Amino acid sequence: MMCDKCKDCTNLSARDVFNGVCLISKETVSIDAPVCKKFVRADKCKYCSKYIASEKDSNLGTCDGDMVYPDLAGCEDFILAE
Amino acid sequence: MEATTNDQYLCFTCGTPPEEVEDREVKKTACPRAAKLLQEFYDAKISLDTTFPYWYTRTWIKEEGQHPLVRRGLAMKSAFSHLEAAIRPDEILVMSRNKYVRGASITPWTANEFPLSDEERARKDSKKASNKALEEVTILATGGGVVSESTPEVLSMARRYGMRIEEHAALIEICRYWQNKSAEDTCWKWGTLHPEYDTLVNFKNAVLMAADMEYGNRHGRSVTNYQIVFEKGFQGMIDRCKELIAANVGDGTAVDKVAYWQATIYAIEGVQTWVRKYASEATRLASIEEDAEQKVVYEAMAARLEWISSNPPRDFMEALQLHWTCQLEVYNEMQGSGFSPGRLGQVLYPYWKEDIDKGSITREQTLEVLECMRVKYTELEIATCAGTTGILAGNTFNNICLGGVKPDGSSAENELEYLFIQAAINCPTVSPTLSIIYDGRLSNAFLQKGIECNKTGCGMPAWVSNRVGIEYCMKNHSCEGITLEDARAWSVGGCLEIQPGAVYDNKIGAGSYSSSGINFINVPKILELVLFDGVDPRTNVRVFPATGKKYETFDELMDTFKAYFGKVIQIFEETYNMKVSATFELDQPLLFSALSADCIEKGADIDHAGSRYNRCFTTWITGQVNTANSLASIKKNVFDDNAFTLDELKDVLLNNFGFISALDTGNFSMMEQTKNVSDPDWERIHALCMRAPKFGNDDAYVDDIYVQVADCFLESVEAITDVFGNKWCASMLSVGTHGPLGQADIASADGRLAGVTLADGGQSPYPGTDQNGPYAVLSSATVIDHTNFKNTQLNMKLHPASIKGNMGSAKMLDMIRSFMDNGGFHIQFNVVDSRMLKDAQENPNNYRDLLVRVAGFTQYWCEVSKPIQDELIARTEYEEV
Repeated sequence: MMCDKCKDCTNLSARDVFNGVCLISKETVSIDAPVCKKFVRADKCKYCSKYIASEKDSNLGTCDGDMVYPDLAGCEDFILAE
Repeated sequence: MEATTNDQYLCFTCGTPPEEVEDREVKKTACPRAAKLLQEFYDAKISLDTTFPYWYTRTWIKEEGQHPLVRRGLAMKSAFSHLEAAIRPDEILVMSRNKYVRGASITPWTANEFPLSDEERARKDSKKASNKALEEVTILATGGGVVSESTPEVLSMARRYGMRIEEHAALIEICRYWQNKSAEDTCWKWGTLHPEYDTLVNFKNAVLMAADMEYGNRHGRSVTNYQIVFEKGFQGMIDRCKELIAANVGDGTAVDKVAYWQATIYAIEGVQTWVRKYASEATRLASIEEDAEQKVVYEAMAARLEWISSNPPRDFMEALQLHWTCQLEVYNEMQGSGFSPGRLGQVLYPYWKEDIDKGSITREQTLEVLECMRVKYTELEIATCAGTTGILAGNTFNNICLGGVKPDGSSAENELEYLFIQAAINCPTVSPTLSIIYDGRLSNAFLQKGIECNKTGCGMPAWVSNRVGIEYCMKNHSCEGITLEDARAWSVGGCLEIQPGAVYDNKIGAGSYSSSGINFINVPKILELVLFDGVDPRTNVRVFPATGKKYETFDELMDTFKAYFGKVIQIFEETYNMKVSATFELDQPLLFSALSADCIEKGADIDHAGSRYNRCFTTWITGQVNTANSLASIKKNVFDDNAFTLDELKDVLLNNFGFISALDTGNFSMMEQTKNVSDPDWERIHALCMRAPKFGNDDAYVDDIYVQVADCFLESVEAITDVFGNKWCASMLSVGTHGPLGQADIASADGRLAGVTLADGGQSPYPGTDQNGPYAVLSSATVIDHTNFKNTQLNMKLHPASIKGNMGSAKMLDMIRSFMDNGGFHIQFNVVDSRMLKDAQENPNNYRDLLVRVAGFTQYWCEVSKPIQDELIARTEYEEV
């Protein structure tokens, strides 16, 4: 089971690959920091019902046969996985 | 071993500097909102995002079989539509290339190689003439936002960009898909059509040329045209394409045109979706914002974005936002740099004047948003291999031109342009850089405002001559029927390229494009080939066949130099024509073309001569001042004075005059080098080389040789026609090439040591060699006819005390006027105490916001590489003007 991080929150404005700004607290946070109580999961491929994780590489998956990666922002067909 | 400053021959200050280090005279601060955004910028690392290349590639694969233009249009639409909207606290002007502050994206359909591992790159065909040789001598900056080392979560790529480890596997898959399909992997195969292609490979292996610019960074050095989108809006542009399709669909010869218009529609639709996502995000943020004032900002932002996603701007803020959206779409569409906003202050002025007159915006509000705009431009990043990054020195070359004249010939300065300058004074940012188009019709107050900005030390504005710009356009675009009005509307593309304008109902737009990369030729290397009978003495690569020629006179040697120079240019330009033709089918600039004058109406993108003016293929050179100095030294010492022979010279050059190479000492200027062999004869020869006449001293002995080098360059460049049937153009500036190309050169006959950075610019004297005062520099710099060149470049370093007060300002302006009156095209200034730069090099953390002028661009000191930093410190500092 993947562990949510600040980079997975819809209220994180990513500054760069290390840090971002929380749009709620307006504070700088590490995007790898554990989430707070106000966490709102962003639409990402890894949360989509169509996403199938690769068995060989945890950073790759497929969606209807197309290669995707888990942190890719969800597309117009995004359906939250149960 | 003996460390030496070479100060027995060189003088790095002209005059006596004050005892104490002196800061710049003019120091202001940014408004609170811009200051916060600037701090966010300072804190941000340069980051790669995979979203754009992912969706582009996925759609490209799905749409196989479509007309190439339509396929690209659909891929572009998909890529733009899927970009995330990222709005940051304190922003008014919004949108970024991707979700990161300093975000960049790789465009693997253009260049797919550099993200791959060294092993995968090594498997490439050796005929490809890769950037490897250049990358090996390229030393990059490591400070500021640069991600030069990897961490467990972040990979450093090309020694500059950070990439999340989670995205890397996907990016590699994408890059592998583009193998043997990308412009990078296909264009060289087209190049092999040329019978002398193998010689070009040797050029690259010897670092006689900078990098493969027929794909990487091919686009740019242009001025973005806003008049069409300001008149029609995005939806109006789509509607116009639809009208043209309907009118031409029955014409069997217009299939490619119909495909072009349809592709353009798709690409613009993608941008519209992207803008609307920002509007939705602004609405969402307004809904969760607790601060009432900020809530209003978000709501206004949402309304503005929603409107401009379809319609022409109605006011200044909408026009400013729309122009920024267009800048971003162009950067996302292509791997390129230098899409200059051009005469932006004049384009925006009617909107601003109307708002000011009716009281809907104040001057303070205008200044605030212009400062915020400067931060946005400074955030721009492009992703290139390490070799190209070294050349570009991390800049994206967005140039705003101020002043000049209107199409009717009257002064074009306006009040909004004063605010553009004030924003640069207040907000220490590198981009957009400013250039004042100097003309006698500009007011003294306007010119003084420019001087005030120079005094901050931010390196801008640069000063360019209106007369030279117009004459260049009239002379070099006469083959395309240029009008005087369009010539008067000229502007600077990228850091310094003269680009003709396009006038619409007396409004200034941009009329040209540059579809050739920044192809720099390492001129000192050509002289090395002459001396070493066709072999590069650093790598032992044979570039030209051996002739065994012995030179009895200087003229014989000069003739060989000119023949080699001409041959290098001929092979480069002819192979480039072939290679770039391959890329025309892969990375058509649909969006930039849609904005460009006449493309939509002609039904052709800029790569297919759709622009109003298309004479744009350009060759650049670096190190010509070192070459002229070296030739002067050979003429004087070997042939006039018989002080030593050519064989003795070659021996001492190979032995670096007894010094350790700069590549080993890590010091890249002549200011600080280390001798490890004390040989009296080598020392004698070195002294004679150093004392030989040097360019920049108003000395006809060497200046005449400089003219010969420049003339040979111009004649050779113009002897070849480009893919549109026009003559190639000649340019003389350095950007950041004088670093890596100098690192690839052995010691030279001017006394410069191996691996030491070359002279910057086109007419800048070599650091420490100009000892006859600033007006002697100006005199040397104007020995050529500047109207023959697409750009020329002179950089000078002034001590802040030298231009202090009103008298100092007047002296500085007099100097600029003198240069322009004598036919000079471009001059720019570093206003800084060299000792401050030295301190900044030792204590970079104390100088995060220190700006310096390099060569056509300003950069944060901490993001300048060591070889360029050393050269900047060594540049002759003038204590008086």
